[in-house]
Parts: sequence; structure tokens; C-alpha cells
Amino acid sequence: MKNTIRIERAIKNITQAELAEKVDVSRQTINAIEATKYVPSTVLALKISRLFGKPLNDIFELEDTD
Amino acid sequence: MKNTLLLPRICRPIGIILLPFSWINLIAIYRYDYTLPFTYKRIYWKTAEGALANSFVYNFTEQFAWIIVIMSLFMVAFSKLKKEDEYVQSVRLDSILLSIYIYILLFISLIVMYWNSILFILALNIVPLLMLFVLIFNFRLFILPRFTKSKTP
Repeated sequence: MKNTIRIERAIKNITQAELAEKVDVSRQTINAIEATKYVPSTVLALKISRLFGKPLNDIFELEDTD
Repeated sequence: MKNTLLLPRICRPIGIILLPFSWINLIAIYRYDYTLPFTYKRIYWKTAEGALANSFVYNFTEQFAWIIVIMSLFMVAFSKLKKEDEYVQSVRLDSILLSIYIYILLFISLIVMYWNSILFILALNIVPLLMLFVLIFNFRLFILPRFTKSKTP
């Protein structure tokens, strides 16, 4: 599953650590999600999309292999 | 994320401090015949009727040392992190699964070894399992992210 968290972070000008603190997870979790090594739970995905003020589908996108 | 099955956070630094001391203690015992003075205990053997048959003084230094090793490893392995979230939980689970693969060595040793050696190998498997888990878990959570680049555009 692809995601645009890195772009959204750049738009909002926040670091991984700051984003992690805002959605109450560890920095490693954000790093793993950005590296597409980990697919977040629905709750975490919704938290991230709410923080960026965008619909879930704009941030997370299914790939052909999913 | 709530997880009541893990040890409190304070156990991790305690375990990290205890770990090198526990190994130094083991090396001192096996290489230099070092014994702890407070681990001597008199063991009593009784007959079937309950009368005293024999008694001797036994030194529990080895047992004490191994308990400290296992305890410190357990504290490092299974104490809460600062943020115990879903990713940490998933890494923890994967690391446990990977470390269980050390049982392949156990299977091999059970085939090639006999009698007392089997018991020795079975006892020894407690420590490598925990050690492997600590190594894999910490490597995947703290070291590996430094070398991974973001795949997102």
C-alpha cells in the first residue's frame, strides 16, 4: 500500500518525530509506514488522515499487488 | 495501546545494567573458580522414615549466576518501551517467531547427542532464545530504520 505521508509532512513542515507525537505512536512506526514496510491499522490511518485534513484515500492508495 | 502482559518500563534499564555484570559473573565462575560467599547452603537427605541420612554443604553460585543472566535478559526483552504501539507489537511478535527458529539447532542436537548432553542442550536453549530475541527486536526497531529510505514519493 502506497502512501503520501512524506509529502503531507513536507507540506505541513513537520518531522517524523512531531507527526509521531501528534498521532501518539513511536517515530519508528512513522518511519516504517513511510518506507511501506508496515501497513497501519484503520485507527492509526484515520488519525493520520484527520491530522492532515484529507480523506483517507488521498493519503493511502492500494497497489496492484495488494 | 494497552498491554498489561509486559513488565514495567523501569525493568529495561535495570536489565541493561545487570546484563554485563551477569556475564562477567559467569566468566569469573567458570574460568577462575570464583564463588559467592552467601550461596553456600547445607543440604539434608532424609531416609524414607524421615531420619537424617546425610548432609553436605552445596554451593549455589552457578545457579545464582544463571538466574541473574536469565532474569536480566528477560527484563531487557519483555519490558515496555516508551511508546508501546501497534508497530512495536508487530515487531515484537515477528522477533519472537524468528528467535524460536533456534529450535532447529535443538532438533539437530537431539539427533546427534545422547544421555546427559540432551539435558544440557535443553537447559542451554533458554538463554540463546532470549538473547536472539533481544538482538532481533532491538536491531529491527532501532538500528534497521537508520538504513531504510522512504519509498513514498
